[in-house]
Amino acid sequence: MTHVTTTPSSDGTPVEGAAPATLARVRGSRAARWTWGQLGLLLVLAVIVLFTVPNPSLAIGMLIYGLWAAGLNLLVGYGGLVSFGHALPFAWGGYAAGLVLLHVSTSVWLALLVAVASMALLSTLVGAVCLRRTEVYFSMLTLAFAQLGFFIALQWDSVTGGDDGLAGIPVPTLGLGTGIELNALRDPLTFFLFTGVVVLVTFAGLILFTESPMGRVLQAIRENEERARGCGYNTRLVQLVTFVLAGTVAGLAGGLFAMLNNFVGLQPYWLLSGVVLIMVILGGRSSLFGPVLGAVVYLVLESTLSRYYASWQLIVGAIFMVCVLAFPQGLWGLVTQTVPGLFRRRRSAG
Amino acid sequence: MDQLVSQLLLGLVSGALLVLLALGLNLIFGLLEFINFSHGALYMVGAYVASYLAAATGSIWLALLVVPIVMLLVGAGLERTIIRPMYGRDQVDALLLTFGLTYVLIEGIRMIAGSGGRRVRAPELLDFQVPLGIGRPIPAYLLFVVLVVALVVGGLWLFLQRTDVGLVVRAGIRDHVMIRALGVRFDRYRTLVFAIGVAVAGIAGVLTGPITGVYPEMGADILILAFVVVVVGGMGSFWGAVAAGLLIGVLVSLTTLYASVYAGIVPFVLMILVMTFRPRGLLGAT
Amino acid sequence: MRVTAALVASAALLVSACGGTVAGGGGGGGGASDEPLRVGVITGLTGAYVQLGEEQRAGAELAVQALDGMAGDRPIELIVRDDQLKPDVALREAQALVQEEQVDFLTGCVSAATTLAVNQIASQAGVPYLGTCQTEQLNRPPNYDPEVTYHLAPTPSQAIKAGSPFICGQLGQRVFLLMPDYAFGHEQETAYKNAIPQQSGCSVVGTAYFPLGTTDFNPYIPTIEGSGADALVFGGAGRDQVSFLRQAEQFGLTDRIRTFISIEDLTFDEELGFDLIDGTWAMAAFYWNVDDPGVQEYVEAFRTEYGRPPGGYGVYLWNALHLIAQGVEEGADSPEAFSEFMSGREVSLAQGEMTVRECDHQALAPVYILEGLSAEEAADRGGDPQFGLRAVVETVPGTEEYAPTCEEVQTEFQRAG
Repeated sequence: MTHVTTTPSSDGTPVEGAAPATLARVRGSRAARWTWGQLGLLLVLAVIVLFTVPNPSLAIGMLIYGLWAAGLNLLVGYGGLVSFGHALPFAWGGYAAGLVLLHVSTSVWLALLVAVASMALLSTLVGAVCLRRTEVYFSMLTLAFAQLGFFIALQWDSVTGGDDGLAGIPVPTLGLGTGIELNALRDPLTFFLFTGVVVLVTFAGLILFTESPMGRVLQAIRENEERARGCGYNTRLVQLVTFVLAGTVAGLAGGLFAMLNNFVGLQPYWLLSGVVLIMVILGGRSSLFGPVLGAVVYLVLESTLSRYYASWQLIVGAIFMVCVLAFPQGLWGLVTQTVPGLFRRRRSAG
Repeated sequence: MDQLVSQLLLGLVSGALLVLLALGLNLIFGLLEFINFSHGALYMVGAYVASYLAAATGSIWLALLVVPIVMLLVGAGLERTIIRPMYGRDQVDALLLTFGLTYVLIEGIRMIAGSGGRRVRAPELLDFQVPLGIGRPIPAYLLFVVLVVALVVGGLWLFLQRTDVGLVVRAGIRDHVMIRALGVRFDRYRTLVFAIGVAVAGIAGVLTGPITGVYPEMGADILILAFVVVVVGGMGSFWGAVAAGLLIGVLVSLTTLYASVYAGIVPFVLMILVMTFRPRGLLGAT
Repeated sequence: MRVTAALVASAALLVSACGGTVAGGGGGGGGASDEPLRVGVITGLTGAYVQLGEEQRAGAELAVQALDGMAGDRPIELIVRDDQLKPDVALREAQALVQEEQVDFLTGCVSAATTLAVNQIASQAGVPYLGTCQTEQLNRPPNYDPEVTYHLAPTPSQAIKAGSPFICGQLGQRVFLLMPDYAFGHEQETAYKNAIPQQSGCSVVGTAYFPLGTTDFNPYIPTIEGSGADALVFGGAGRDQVSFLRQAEQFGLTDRIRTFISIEDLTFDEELGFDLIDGTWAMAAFYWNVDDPGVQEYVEAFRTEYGRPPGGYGVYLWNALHLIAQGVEEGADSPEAFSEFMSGREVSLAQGEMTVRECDHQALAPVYILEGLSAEEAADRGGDPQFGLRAVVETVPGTEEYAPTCEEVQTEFQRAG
């Protein structure tokens, strides 16, 4: 086998907006416009969700999935590393938080801390193996690890509840002398606001990372790993840090999801690797906000289409393929590319 | 002892079907440099085509001839329309595209044929048991499956080693920039290899029908296993895929005998071990 | 930043335009005496068990038809939602049914995990929930809520206690268990290992598990044959049954070892192909050719509508709707009154004679032992050679004898606090 980096097409057909890499470069040139603006966009989206989505669980789910997808995009969009097993950290976080709430304490902070810390540790180990190879090897290794995790969760039923999962996870408390309970059913607004704050803070952290020197190196590795290595960067280390970060964010999201449902189990936790990837590609992998938008759009599609059309996944699959083929930059990429153009045109006309 | 022998033989049968899928996956990866995530779904489509043909003609004999041809055309069609635009782009884009294709194929089949499975009978001609002298007698159909797999593997090997086309394909797997520089119309070979890979998956689908029945999600689990086989055997290694497929079949079968609970996990543990200690696979080029 | 400004403006517009959302919230059920009676049905309409889900929908719809759409003087309104077999979706949909649709009752489910999710919402909202999938957990702590939880399907242990005397008495004394490796299989294994040694001379000689989604059962066959068993109990459902029986038949296993299917359903039989049923035995909580007026009323309604007899999953919904309608007709339209109506209720519906006992709201209904026939044999015995390839060889009535006693249940509740 020869080296694994992509060789340039010699068909002489440089496709328009070909690789996401090209797009990222274009976007990078006016990055100042959207880096921190993304945080504002997220806030606006959260407010829209808060006031329009009729179902509280769905609305809170949108935030959680959005966070999870944004974290995954560190790997997919910024690192060029497609994980097919991102359900592993999500489920791990869910089980960790659920077990803490069940057996140790009902403090939301402790549960989330354990979920995040244990996931960081696990991600380091899994990442060390998965990142021995990049590209497709990486994708399939992550898939294998997720499968392995699924089997362990299924078999170790004294801890995980096996196929039944962990039901009846107690309602977490916020502590800090407030006595506030995070009960998604009785008081969805508090839960939504809490989740919203956690998601915004984490999202800000993600932006900080992508703008940090290490985040830049990560993107450089995606563009050309050998050159980045040639510049003296430890490319594996950068990728590993990213992997751990993405895993930790997923662990956090999983923990929140466990609190939302008061339940953790094989279904749906282990089956979502594909769904979260669809969210990322649908929303657009050239930004952190895109995947959040993708998550919201996907869940809107799921909750409306599935009510009228049993084969709704056919439509989702088809939209996904069109996205990959024609709009590799996804929905948000489409908006950022076309909308400013419209404004500019109007301005020049007026 | 008898039981152990039976278990080994049955492991080889399971492994043989894995080998077919893994070979197609491996060949496509070798030349086209992406993992065809829809390989399992295409195998499923092949099985469905076979189930309809078998229902119409009463046996799978005709399906064994027709399905590879149908799937060859399907493969060529897919490569020409949606895979081709992916070549100039990032490797992961092709992976993602075929991932989306999997959704479309599975849901499409659900829409056409319903969610319930379809049954396919083994040919009546093969409806008997073969006493092997040691261990339990084995159904003739399972031996037939092994025979067909051996023929397909042998045929593919001869095709790659003995024909001019095979020569170009092998050279392309080594270094396709050089091949193109020599003026070879490389895109035709890519179409051909993708089509062959899909056709081989189709044959596996036909053979599986009478063993497990045919249903929309049948490709999902086996795709992951087939990929494990490719990695364990060594990406791009022909005999690596064959050896790893049989090895995994036998290992799973033996685990079933002694600790059935762990049967599902064995291939993944093996894969992680191989990736840790021999990252290029058992027979992969170093 | 102009785009952001525009988005903020439109968000502000939406804020002023929209009402009941996370920010708004909603109330519980309840309604005046002539308002429609709203019943929420949650079941798997996409995913692996779509046929079972469709059948549940059909069972509910046919019941409403049979009741002329009325519960007393209140018209019945069905609202059917898909849970995709996922607990989080079930939770979401149950929440939507309670808060947006303001349903008075909830029912339905084909998978154990979703039933617990729906029950959780029902308990929080105080809406009665009639669970319909075979699980041990719905009416046990911590899930059981005496105000709202009911379980109309038999639990695995109930059915297995009822079926074990037949296995040991008629099929063989050395039993091998082949079970799916998840909760449903483990629950069955425990129940069989309790029940089988209680039959004189009978024992379990071996157990093997197959993982979720196994299609290749060939490696299990030498293991089974090597155990010296003369009877085999297979605990898998649906596709597992299809794969296993097909491969077992190729080996001639079912000729040598008497095979008993722990959970039968007509939809599985159709996928199996009826040729594989011949010479096996099975157990079910419902079979369409059971000779009982209540059963036949449902079967008739189903055949008229769909041109084929029903499988075993829609019957629970048919029963649930009948029970709800009857309760409401008798004035039990609050959860408390309905609980009083249901406790200890004896009815004869499409599962035959059935009692909903007071201590855990578990329905005690008959279990049928079925023998698989060839088409000719079915016709000879005056049966239906197209669908009726199973003959009822034994009916085990639904009594306390086969369920854990109420004392056992009580101690379990006390232990859980």
